[in-house]
Amino acid sequence: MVFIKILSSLVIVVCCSFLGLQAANAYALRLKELRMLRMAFAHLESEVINYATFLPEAVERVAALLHGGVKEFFCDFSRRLQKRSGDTAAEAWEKALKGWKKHLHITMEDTQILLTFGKVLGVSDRESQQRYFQIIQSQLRNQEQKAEEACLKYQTMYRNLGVLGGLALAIILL
Amino acid sequence: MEYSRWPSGVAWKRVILDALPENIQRVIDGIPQDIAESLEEIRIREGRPIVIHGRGKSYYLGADGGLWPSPEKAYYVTHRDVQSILQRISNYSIYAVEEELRNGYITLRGGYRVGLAGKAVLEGGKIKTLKYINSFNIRISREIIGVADKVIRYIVSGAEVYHTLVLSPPQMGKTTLIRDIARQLSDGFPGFRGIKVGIVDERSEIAGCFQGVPQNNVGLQTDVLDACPKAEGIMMLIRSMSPAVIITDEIGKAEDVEAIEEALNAGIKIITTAHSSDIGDAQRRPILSKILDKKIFQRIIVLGSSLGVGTVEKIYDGHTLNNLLDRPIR
Repeated sequence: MVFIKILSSLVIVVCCSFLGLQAANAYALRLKELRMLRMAFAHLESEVINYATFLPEAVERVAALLHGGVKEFFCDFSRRLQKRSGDTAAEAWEKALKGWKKHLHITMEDTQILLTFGKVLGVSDRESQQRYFQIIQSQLRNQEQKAEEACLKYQTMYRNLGVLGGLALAIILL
Repeated sequence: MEYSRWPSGVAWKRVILDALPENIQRVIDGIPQDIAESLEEIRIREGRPIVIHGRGKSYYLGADGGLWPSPEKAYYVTHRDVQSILQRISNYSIYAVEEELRNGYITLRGGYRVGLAGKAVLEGGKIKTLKYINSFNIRISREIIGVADKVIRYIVSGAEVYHTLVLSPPQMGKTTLIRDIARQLSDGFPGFRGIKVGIVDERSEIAGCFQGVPQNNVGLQTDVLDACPKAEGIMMLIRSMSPAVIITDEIGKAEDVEAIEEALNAGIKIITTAHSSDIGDAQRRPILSKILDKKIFQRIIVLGSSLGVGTVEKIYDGHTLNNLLDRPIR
C-alpha cells in the first residue's frame, strides 16, 4: 500500500514537472521561432529586392535555410504557389500559416502580424515591397522583445511551478 | 492541370490555362476543338465578357464554354478574376515584372504574350508602372517552322549571307519570317553550314524568351539578347558574342542606323525588318530612306497578302532595285 502511494506521488511530481517544463519551453521556442521568422524575411527581402527572384522560387530558397516548423510553413507556402492551387499569394500564405500554426509556438498576435504581411507579399513594385519587408521585420523585432521579457518572467516561474505544484499535489493526496 | 493531354494545335492551353483562375480555365477549356486550334487572341476585361478572336471571327464566351455571337449569355469577368490573372501571369511577383508592366506586356513560358491595360503611373513625365490593370490581351502566337524555305535561297549565296531588310505592313508575318530565317541560318540546311546568329529581341517577339530562355526554335547556334534596346544590343553582341549574323526586329530610329553601320564595319551581316508596304513607301520615311540611300541592304523582301497572309510579294536586289521574283510566292 505504502509502495503504491509513493509510486503514484512520484508519477504526479514527474508529470507536473514535465508540464511545467513544457509551458516554460514554449516561451523559449516562441522566441526562437520569431528570430527565425525575422531571419527568413531578411533573406526573402534580399531575394525579392536585390535579385527580383519570382516568389515561389524565392520562398523555396529561403526555406532551405530554415528548420523546424517555420521551415515546414515556408515549404508549404512555396508548394502552394508552385502548384498554383490558390488564386492569390495571400490565400496560399493564409492557408499555409493556418495549417502549420498548431506546430508553431507563436501567439495570436504574432500570427495576426504574419497574416497581414501575407496580404501584401508580392503584389506591388520593389520599392513598396522593401517598405513592407522593413515593417514586418521591425514588428517581429518588437514581438521578440516582448517574447524575451515574457521568457525571463515566466520561464523559471513555470518550471518551478511544475515541480512545486506536483509536490504540493502529492502531499495533499498523501 | 494535366500537362500531356493537349494535342499540338492547342498546345497553348498548357501555358495559358495556367495563367487563368480555375473558373475561367474551365470556360476556355470548353472551347470547341476546331476554334481552339485557330485561336489568335483571348480578350479579358473586367466587368465585361470574354471575347475570343480567330480566323477573322470573334465570339463571346458563355459560362459553359459555349460561343455566342452576342453578349447576352456571356460570362462576365469579375474583379477577383482580374486580380487572380494578374498574380498568376506575374508568377505571384509583381515586383519582378516592373519592366514588363512599363512596356505593357508580360511574356509567358512558351513565348505567349499578354498585353495589359490599366492606369499609367507617371514619374517625371515617363511611365513608371501600370496600376488598376483591368484588360488583358492574351495573344496565341504560333511559330511556323519552314516558313522561310521560300526566301532562304535568295538571301544566301554559297556561304555568304546577304544584308536583308524585310518590309511589310503589320500582321503580315515579318517576325515569323525572320524567326525562321534565324533558325535556318543557325542550324544550316543542305548546301549551307550553320553559322553563329545573334538576335536582339527588344520586344521579346522573335525568340519569345521566358526568364531569358528562348521558347521558340531560333536555332542551335543562336544567342538572344532579350528585351534589350536594339542599338545598344547590336553593339553588345558585336563586342561579346562574335555573331556572323545579327537579326533584329523593326528598325526605325536614328541610333539603329548607326548601330547597323557599326555591325557592317565589323563584317557582320544584318537581317532586320521595318513597317512599310513597299520600297516607295519606305523611301518617304526619313530614317528608312536614309538606310535605303546608303544601299546597305543587298536584299529587300516585301511581304503582303495578295495570296493570303505572309505572301512574299517581291524580293529586290538592294543595289539595282530589280525585283528577283516573277510573281508573288506563298
